[in-house]
Amino acid sequence: MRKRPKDDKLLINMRPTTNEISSLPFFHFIGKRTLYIINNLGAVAIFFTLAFLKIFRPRQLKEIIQQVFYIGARSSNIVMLVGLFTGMVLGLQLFYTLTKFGSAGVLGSVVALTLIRELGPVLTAIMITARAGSAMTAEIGILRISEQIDALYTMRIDPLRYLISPRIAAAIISFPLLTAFFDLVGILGGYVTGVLLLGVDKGAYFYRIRAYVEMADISGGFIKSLVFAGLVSTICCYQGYFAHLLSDSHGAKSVSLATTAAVVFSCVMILVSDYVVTSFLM
Amino acid sequence: METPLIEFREVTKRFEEKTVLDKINLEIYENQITTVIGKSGSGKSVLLKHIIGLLSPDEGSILFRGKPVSKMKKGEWNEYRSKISYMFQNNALFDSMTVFENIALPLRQTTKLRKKGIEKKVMSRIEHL
Repeated sequence: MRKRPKDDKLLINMRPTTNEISSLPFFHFIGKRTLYIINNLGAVAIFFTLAFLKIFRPRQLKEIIQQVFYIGARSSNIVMLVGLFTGMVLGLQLFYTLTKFGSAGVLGSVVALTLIRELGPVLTAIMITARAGSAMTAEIGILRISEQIDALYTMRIDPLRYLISPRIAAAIISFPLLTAFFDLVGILGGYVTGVLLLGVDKGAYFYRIRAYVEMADISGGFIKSLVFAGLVSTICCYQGYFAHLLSDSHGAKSVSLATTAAVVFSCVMILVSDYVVTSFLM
Repeated sequence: METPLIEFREVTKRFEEKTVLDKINLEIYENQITTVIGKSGSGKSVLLKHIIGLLSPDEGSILFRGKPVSKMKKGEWNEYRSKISYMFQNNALFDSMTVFENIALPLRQTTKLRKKGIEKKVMSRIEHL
């Protein structure tokens, strides 16, 4: 074994030699991956903090409204369509399950609680990721590879303030609103199958919702949607913003890889954070 | 002896394990035309991006009129950047915007000019195209 040099400046010489690395490929791989993940997590956190603080700078309102229109208003149709069919299938499945226990009357409350507490925030976030998140990454990625972000910098326009902050702000505004739409339409979907098609009492359906859904359930759902908004917008913008730094590709291919990574990573993080937030809220 | 307008001292730039600029020394003087020639991928654009501040060196320093760029205060840095123009290889125009919007963008984002003032300035620039 080599002796440790006395001079701290020579610590660089303590790096393992090529032979040592080749004898420990597994640990080398694990160490390298761990450092890479920690480094990226730190970079994402700094990226989000800087962009979030710049939301409150002047001249942001117009950009934020434009992004709310794009992320929120334009996603509303698909979110409501998915909400309707989710509610309908929930009504259908739960009716048959609850009938076995002789509790078909509580269908309304079970549909509503499932949607408000869990499915509404999660499915809305996944739908927005698929529709607007991927577009965010692709747009910012193309701006990056065609040097348009560099051009902004040379014009003394802060790219984070101009491109990223409005998208994060718009996501924070849009996610809870779309989640509310999803929940509402989903409950109506449950009503269509439960009451109109399967004959559950109309009064019982809505009475049970009012009786069992509490404010804590609704606020819990909105807290989740806010967390998802921050995660999805940050991941999608980050992937696009640094698309040019992908080591295994460049140009158009790097944008396609960044978009895929953004969608996959966002969906995984939605589910992981859903568990974490739920465990805190319970 | 004349102080160079821009000076690179032992500038090194790496992207992960690839070293693009390796201890570069360069002096660019005022009132002279300096040409940088090299093969594709040899680091010409990376070198220029260091001058306009889009990239910063991993090692070494860049000096403007003898003063290290990395030690400039915000005001000095903005003044330095305002003196440098850079033409991107692919123009880097915002292709989702009209010509008018492209010219108006920095005026909208970095000045307090009103809509009419911006319109007037942009139209006067468009006449020069």
